[in-house]
Amino acid sequence: MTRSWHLEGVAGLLVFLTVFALPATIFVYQFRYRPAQAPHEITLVGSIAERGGWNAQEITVKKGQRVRLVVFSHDVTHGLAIPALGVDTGPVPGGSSRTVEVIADREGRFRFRCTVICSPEHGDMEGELVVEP
Amino acid sequence: MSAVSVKAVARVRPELARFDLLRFRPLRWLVRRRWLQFALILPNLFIFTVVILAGLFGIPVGAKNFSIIFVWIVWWAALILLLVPFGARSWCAMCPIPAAGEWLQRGAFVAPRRKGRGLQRRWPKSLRNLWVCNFGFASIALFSAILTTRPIVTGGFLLGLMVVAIVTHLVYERRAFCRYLCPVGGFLGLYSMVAPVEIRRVDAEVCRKCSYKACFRGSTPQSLQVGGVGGYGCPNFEFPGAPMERNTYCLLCTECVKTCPYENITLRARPFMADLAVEKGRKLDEAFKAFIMLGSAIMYSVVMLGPWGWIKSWANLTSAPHFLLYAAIFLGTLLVAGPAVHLLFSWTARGVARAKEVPVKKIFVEYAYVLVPIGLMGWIAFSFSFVLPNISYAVSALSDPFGWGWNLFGTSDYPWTPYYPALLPYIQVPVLLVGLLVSLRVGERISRQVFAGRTRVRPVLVPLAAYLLAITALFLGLYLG
Repeated sequence: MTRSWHLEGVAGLLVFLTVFALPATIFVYQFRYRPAQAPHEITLVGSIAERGGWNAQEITVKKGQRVRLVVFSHDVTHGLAIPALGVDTGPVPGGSSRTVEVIADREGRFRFRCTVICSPEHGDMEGELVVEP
Repeated sequence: MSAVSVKAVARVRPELARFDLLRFRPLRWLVRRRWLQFALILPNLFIFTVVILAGLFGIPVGAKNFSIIFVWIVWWAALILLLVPFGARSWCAMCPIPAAGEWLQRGAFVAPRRKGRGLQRRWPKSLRNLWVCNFGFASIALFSAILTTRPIVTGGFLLGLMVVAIVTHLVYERRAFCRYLCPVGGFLGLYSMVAPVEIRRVDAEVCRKCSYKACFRGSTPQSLQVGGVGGYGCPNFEFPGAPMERNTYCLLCTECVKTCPYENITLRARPFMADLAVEKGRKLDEAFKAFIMLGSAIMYSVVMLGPWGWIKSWANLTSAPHFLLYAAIFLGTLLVAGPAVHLLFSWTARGVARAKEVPVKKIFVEYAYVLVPIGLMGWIAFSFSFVLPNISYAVSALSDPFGWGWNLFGTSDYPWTPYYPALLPYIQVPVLLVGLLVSLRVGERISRQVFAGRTRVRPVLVPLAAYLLAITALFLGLYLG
């Protein structure tokens, strides 16, 4: 009987850790620990303009912030460039991602665009990075 | 003994073609541990917790989200390519979806308890069949284009299933959810008939004389005095000592192995497809499960692999009227067209066999089991077509399950790499041809059972071959065309 209760206790602890402690750890890590440690990370998902283009047409960051841009091509090959800030991911094949870091050291609105002719409406694949004071 | 004579002996005494896996002492020791099922469930509970969290809170892009990649590519591949064909319903023994409900119902994680918790009601008699599973699966399959691409839908769906399982366990006895409601369990049961493993009684005489029936009722102090390590009666309402003759409703949880005071229930290896020769237990609800599964494999191949963009966008719920049309086509194929073609075949078979006294319904139901091998192989061929091109997403999703920019194992930037796309037809064609040949073999045996004692069994094989060839040609056309 004692052994049985001992086993139940261990099993209960493992279930608790899985169902409650695991989600709590994930959220604490993501929303408390990481922002303090890592650069501000933004994921930009590119689909051809006919299917919506970039998932965000405007990204706002704070001046001086270190920004990690994860560019993911959802369908065909895309690429992302912010010429004014000297950022260029190069071609990002469909289904893969490239990460670039930007230091937003000056205020202003900086256009970003797709660098690969990805569809007939490729020209519409544009957006703006807004650096606020 | 030569292969031919083994086959001949196996035909007369099927038990001789079986091998008792519990002769291996380490396996016997393991199967008799009460913690075994818990140890199988826990890692899957961990993965499903991450899946639900990623689905609900992670990036909405399916290809970057752990929930989509691990459920619809990794889990599905493991299930349909390995677990079901080789391990029957072994997934059910380790499935985390009903686990919380079962633990609450039992009031224990591992140890056996005599008295359960919850209302312990009996499942309604009118629903003791697969119809709810069938319509549940068909309804879910209808929304699969959404379900398999949008993380929040996948996360919500799995969480919803867990909630339904918990409620069902607290209201009804045993694992009524798994037996009568689970949309996955229904098709696992159907296709587990092909698997080369089974849990069965050893000696019929021992079961006949047994007064404890612990495999169905659960261990009692009296049965434990005789033997057994203690456990619950079959969670899925089976009575292994009765005997249980098919894998369809066996969850492979091994409770019966643990409870039997005489060690008269065992885990055996056996020939593939063995259950398809068992006449007892064939029913209309299972027959419809076979139509629904085969129809789904065909419809998925049309929608996801076919060149028709319009049906893809209809399935993606781009507009309500188009989706309603798609629903009519999809459900019509699964529930009307497939069964109608099968009915036509049943009429033809009866006519060819000149067996007017054999009811068409009997032919209709019995021959539906011919569709099990071809249906499973159709699913396997279909699964290869998206697993090989997309499994590489799992490498990056493992490092960044939520699409939040994590890099846990340094693989988050692993590019999408379709593996061996040129090999696909070389895999799919043999798989489909094996399905065709095995279905024909099963069909021949069923013909001898349905038209027993008749000399005109062989002519039935002509329409049967035409029927199965048409199905195979349809799959081949979709994959190669």
